[in-house]
Amino acid sequence: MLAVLLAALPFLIGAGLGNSWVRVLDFVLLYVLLALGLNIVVGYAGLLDLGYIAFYALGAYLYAWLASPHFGLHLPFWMVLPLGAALAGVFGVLLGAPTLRLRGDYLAIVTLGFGEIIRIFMNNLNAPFNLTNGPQGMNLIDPVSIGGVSLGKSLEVAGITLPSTYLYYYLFLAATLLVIVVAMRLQHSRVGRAWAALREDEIAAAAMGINTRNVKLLAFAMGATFGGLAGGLFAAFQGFISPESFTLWESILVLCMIVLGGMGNIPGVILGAVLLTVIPEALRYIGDLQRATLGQVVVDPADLRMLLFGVALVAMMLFRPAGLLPSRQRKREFSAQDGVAEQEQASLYDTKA
Amino acid sequence: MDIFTQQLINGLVLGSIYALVALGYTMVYGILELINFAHGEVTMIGAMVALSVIGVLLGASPDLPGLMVVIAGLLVAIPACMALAFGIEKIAYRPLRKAPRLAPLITAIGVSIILQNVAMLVWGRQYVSFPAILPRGQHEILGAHITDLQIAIVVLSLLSMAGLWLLVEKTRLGRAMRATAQSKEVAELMGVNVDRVISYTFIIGAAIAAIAGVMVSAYYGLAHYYMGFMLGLKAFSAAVLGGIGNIAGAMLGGLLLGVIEALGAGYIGDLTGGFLGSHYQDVFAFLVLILVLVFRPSGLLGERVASRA
Amino acid sequence: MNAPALLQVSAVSKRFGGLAALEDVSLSVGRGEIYGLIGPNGAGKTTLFNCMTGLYDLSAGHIHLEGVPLHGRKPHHIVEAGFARTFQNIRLFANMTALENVMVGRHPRTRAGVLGAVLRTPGARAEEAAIHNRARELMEYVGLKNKGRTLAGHLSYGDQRRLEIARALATEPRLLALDEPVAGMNPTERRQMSDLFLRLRAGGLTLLLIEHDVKLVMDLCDRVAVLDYGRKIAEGEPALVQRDPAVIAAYLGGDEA
Repeated sequence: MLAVLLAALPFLIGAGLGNSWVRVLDFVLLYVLLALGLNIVVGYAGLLDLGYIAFYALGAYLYAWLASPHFGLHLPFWMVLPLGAALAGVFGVLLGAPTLRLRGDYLAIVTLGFGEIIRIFMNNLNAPFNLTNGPQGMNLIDPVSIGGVSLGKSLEVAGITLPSTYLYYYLFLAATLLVIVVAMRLQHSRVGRAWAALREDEIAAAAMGINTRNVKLLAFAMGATFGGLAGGLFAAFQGFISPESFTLWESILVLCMIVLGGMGNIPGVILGAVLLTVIPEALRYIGDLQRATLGQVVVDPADLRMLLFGVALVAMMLFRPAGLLPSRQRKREFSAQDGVAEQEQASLYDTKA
Repeated sequence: MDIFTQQLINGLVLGSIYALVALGYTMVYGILELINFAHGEVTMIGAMVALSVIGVLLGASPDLPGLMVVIAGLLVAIPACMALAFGIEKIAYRPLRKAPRLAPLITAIGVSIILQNVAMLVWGRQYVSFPAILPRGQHEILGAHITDLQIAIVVLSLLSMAGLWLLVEKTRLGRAMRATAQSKEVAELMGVNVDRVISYTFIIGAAIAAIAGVMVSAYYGLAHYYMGFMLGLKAFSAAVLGGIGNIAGAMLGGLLLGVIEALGAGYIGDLTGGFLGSHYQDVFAFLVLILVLVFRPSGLLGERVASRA
Repeated sequence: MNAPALLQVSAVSKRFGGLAALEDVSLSVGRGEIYGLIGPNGAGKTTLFNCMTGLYDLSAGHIHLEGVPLHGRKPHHIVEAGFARTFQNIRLFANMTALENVMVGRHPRTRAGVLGAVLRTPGARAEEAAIHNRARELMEYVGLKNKGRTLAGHLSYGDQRRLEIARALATEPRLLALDEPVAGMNPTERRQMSDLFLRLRAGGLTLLLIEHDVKLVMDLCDRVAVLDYGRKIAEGEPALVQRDPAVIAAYLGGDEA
């Protein structure tokens, strides 16, 4: 049932809202991928990473280097994507190794700094030799092509024409399903329990024989790997990348998704990614609405977008800190005050046992 | 012209601005262990408000003496920032004081985004230029140039820091702040109104940030809704470099970071054989931040703050 | 002591800044003993636990478990060496279920990594099943048979203490260090706990016990050491230690004990 719906989704959306929304749908899936990756770091292991988009950037740039006219390399996607994921994973470890003994909020700032450093380098490494083509970015990146069929062009199957956006939808859907399975299996494994323990109480986790440093590094590396994978897919899909796509605000956007949806909970994270990708697109209609009612665009909806995100972040933390679809853990964690009181009461009155 | 001396002067001037902003981070962190992410944006709002006032005054009578106009702008910007910081703390941070650590950090990021985008709606996406109304004298020392403005920035910074120092060391409020930083519970038992002390901490930090905001926009001749972000990050790095929570550390860290940046940008081309240019200036703050956190997380003057039980 | 000691603490000191929390403390715990560590509040008992389990670095001294040095080792190495502990202020993973808490305790004795988990290899699945079974056995053993699905933070105080012990046992320790395991319990619960301790000892485990309840210590412990102001002021059989003038002096004006 769900499978049929997912398979038919681009046709439904394409027919109902137009093909530009199928493209939005593709981006929804990319952000779901990103959010699921960041969720491993933030939601499972409780490490606040504000530079997550750097791993996305690494995946994207590696794809562009290995599959575009820039260096004249045109390696197939099944080689480049894993390489990008691996490169991002390695960088995750490199960044994590020296910084993970820091307290959570310090870690957030260091990762933020790391993200900015990566972006500054991407922006400036067009000289002395042209590695990234600087602010102009790199284009003509090869589309994914499977068995000689390029996803960059429409494909005719049994009399039905499938535009490129539809083809990428199925590729991204496959990647997303894969990542969901991986994330779920990890969550309910020895490793996932170690992450949860770490998030709950680092000292107690260490006292249970968990090598907290390694387990944190693992979370960092796994999250980065997913980010790198999503970055490669993004580069192939878009055909063009520039440092502008990898700003701090993208990191914060992905963070917003998991905060809004419910940290640590896969359906919540997916919901958050869907909402925060679709809402800004829908906000474009506010511009039309203003033109229709006021005769001009008073407030650019693009300007409103970030403002609304800011308000959403604050409001969620104040009023529904566990997210729209909270995981069992987070729900309790954020109502920890009540929990403690409850516990004390229990200890006062519990005399039977 | 002596490039080294010149960069050193530029670095000290910029560094004294970083130091002022860093004070706000370090004071709040000292008391709440919160990285007040929005502090950089408060600085930006200070600059913007002052520029608006300056614009209005000059529009009304273009012949007013420049220095007076800027001071008038400053005198409006300071209370505006104080009110803003008071509101931010009350609405966005206070309700989360007992929440898990990530929660107030996330709201702080949210507040930062809100301020930036409100500023963008109010003041536009364009750079707002700082009118050339300040005295523009220039002096020569040790083969380098120093302007009246640079001297004024350093002097005003030093005065602000001295004022803060006196406030923290010599007044009742300062004693209450120090007590609260040591232990909120104990301070409360001793009759300190902790909520009020926290409010004052935010307010004082914001007042200093407003001064810094006006200085930085006067120095670069412009202000921008996005300026608070980088300034805030660098100031935070400076606070960490000096030892977060430590007021003298913030001052030292700010000055040092300014100098590191200026010398780094001046010499990076030579150091890397022309591979990296001065547009990597912004990287230095982050490198310093990462290196300090990795090798000496307590900063130069601070106590140990790396993860503890 | 004739038999070689299981745990040997030699001349351990711990200073915080200028403050000496532990000063030249030595003790040895033999296999199968229940060894009590008592002393007034602030005497350094929990500090000693934290030193032994790697949470604090020692300022001086050595600690060996069966001849293997523990000093300078990370907490997780110490657990692997067979030294498990509980916490005075209960540090469960409050938002995980009781069973999951115990399953976490199996961590140092199991191996499955990311690949095993993602691919669900036969080895990883068998190990996961074994973790699950062992955790259930331990829950039953400490008397929490039907509480596996309850969130740890929702358990009653006494059950939380029990769960912490089950979680520590899951790491297969040779020595279990318990920090005030019966604090806040009523007499019935205390009795159940001392029965549990005796059963554990009968199963070959050595227990190191910080406890304020002097009666429990006297009844249960084979030997006790008394700490006061970071120094060991007495050691020996409970009945003898109880009459030691230095111990009586240390406790005067202290707790009701």
